[in-house]
Amino acid sequence: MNAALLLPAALAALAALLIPLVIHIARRTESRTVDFAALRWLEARPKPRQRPRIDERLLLALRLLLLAALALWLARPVILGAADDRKVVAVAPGVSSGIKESLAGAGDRVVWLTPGFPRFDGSPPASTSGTVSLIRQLDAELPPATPLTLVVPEILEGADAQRPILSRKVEWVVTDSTLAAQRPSARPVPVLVVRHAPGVTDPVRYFRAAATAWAAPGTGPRFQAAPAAVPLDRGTVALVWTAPGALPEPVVNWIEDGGTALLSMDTRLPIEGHATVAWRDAIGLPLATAETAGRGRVIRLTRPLEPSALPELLEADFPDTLLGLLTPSPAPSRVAAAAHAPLEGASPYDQPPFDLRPWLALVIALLFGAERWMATRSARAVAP
Amino acid sequence: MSPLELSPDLRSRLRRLSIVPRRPAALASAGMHDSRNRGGGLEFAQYRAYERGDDLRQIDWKLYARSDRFFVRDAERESPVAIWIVLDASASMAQADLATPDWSRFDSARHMTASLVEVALHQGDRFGLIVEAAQGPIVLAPGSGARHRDRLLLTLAPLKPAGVAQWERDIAIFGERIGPSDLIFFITDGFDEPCIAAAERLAATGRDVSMIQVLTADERDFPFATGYRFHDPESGAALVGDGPALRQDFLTRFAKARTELESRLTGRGIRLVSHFVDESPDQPIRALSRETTRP
Repeated sequence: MNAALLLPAALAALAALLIPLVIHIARRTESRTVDFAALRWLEARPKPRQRPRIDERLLLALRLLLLAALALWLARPVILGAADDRKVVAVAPGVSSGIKESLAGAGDRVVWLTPGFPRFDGSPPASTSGTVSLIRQLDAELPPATPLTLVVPEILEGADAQRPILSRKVEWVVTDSTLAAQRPSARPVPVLVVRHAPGVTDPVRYFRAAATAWAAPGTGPRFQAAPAAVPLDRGTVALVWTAPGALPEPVVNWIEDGGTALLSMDTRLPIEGHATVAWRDAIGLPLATAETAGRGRVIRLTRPLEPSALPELLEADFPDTLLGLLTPSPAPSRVAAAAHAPLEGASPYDQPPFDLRPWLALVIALLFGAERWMATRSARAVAP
Repeated sequence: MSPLELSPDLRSRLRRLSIVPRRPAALASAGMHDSRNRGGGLEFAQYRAYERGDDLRQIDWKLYARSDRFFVRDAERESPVAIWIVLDASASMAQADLATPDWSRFDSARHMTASLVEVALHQGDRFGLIVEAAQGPIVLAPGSGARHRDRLLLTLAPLKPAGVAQWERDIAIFGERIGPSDLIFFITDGFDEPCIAAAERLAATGRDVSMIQVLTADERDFPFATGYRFHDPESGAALVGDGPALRQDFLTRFAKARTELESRLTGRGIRLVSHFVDESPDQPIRALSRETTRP
């Protein structure tokens, strides 16, 4: 633990210390006149003494202290390495609360593994899914020497593609989960909206067939086809645009607001993003590329919408492929906790220093009060 | 506190003091100095009952005829000695201490005068006053008795020290009024050379001169903590200086000046006693009487 100044140049404000010094010295040139008949025994010009005399030393000291504290406040003093290095026990929601007594000692800090890391007390917060991300955040926010114990349920929600790599070795405790395992819900099928060039309705039937295939048994297809001039309904999620030429402005705005659009090969879109191949044929040639536009996605076909150029339109798995293109399935995020223990090896993170300015501000306020009290008390003789 | 009022405590201490001339031989021809002894003077003092040994000539026979008892006429014998108090009223006497701005050197000198008068009154001597002021001396011829004391205090009460006293101008008056065997008390600060010279001239003519030098406590302690402008009220000269820087040098020089003054006056046969304004006025009187009664 050592102190430092984040802005040492502000110490130039210490030059202001000269002001009270000048105030307290300058006053003594004023002198009262006294009658003194024994004047002839006063030496007319005693050897010139330049030693400055200072009035009211206590008040001067207070003022100097006040100014020095102000300059120090401007220089932003911090204490490095003053962070709390008690052992931390982080409990993921869904763990039986009795686990705390068995793991945490008296001086340990016990927190919930939820955003903000609230203090562990009886009521478990609402379960969140980003547990692994929170583990990384907690590791980054703790000083390198702090021991960390993570208590997680058997099944971790919110895992991502990589086992977390932390800067320290953690104690990984897997306990019984009190939460019922969530069953993944069936993906909702969007209403497929098709906009085509006026009179060119040939490609529409492939999409109507796909929408019919998506529909649950006994229900009709959720499908809507119209010429390109018809504006989009509010709430449209998936759009197939087969008209050639530039995409109109409202549709572009809709895409950037979060819509997903499948564009035919001859549709022009003013947005150009980083495209990745989203659909390949049997021999690996790209059939469609996907890119993000604003908050939405754009899928561009690389071939015309006709079976001679795109025989996959007639394949039996085209509806599934189309659904996958328009509503990509979420990445798997559920993992067995025992197999997802964090690895060690990340370089430790620098901890933010402890800011002393609020405390210094308190000291400054106290000093100012004392200075005002001394400077205005009635017993004072003169008023520099 | 008025400078002319004497506290009962001071009064009782003064009662034990006496003012005696240094040269008792000068009084030998005049008999005892103490004016309390009643004898064959002219002024009637009192009747008292006849005692054995009284001179029969002193019996008041007419009173005997009226009352059938012997009474003796007592007469106050006039003292051959007058006590002169010469009070300096120059501007330098107005100086007061920093701590007690309403008790000046002149107040202390008047207090001292009243004390001397009290002693003189008590021992029955005549006492006179000369106030040496700038516009001219105020002379109060010697007299005795409480009424004369009151007259003297009444003269003192309205006085304000101001200006520069002209000792050379008035020394002739001193010589005329003060008798050759009188006691003279100068009450002054002793800073004026003409004043010293006047005392020396009076002493040179055989008069018994004492000088009570009234000094302020500031001159003794020099308690000036900061810068001051020191101003001499008589010469008008001023000096700006820092108190602590001046202090040591001043105290040394002032003590040396006092020693020189004392040796000079002693050499001329003048007794010098220093009196500080914050002290009791009976101390210098005691110092003067002790000096005379020692051998």
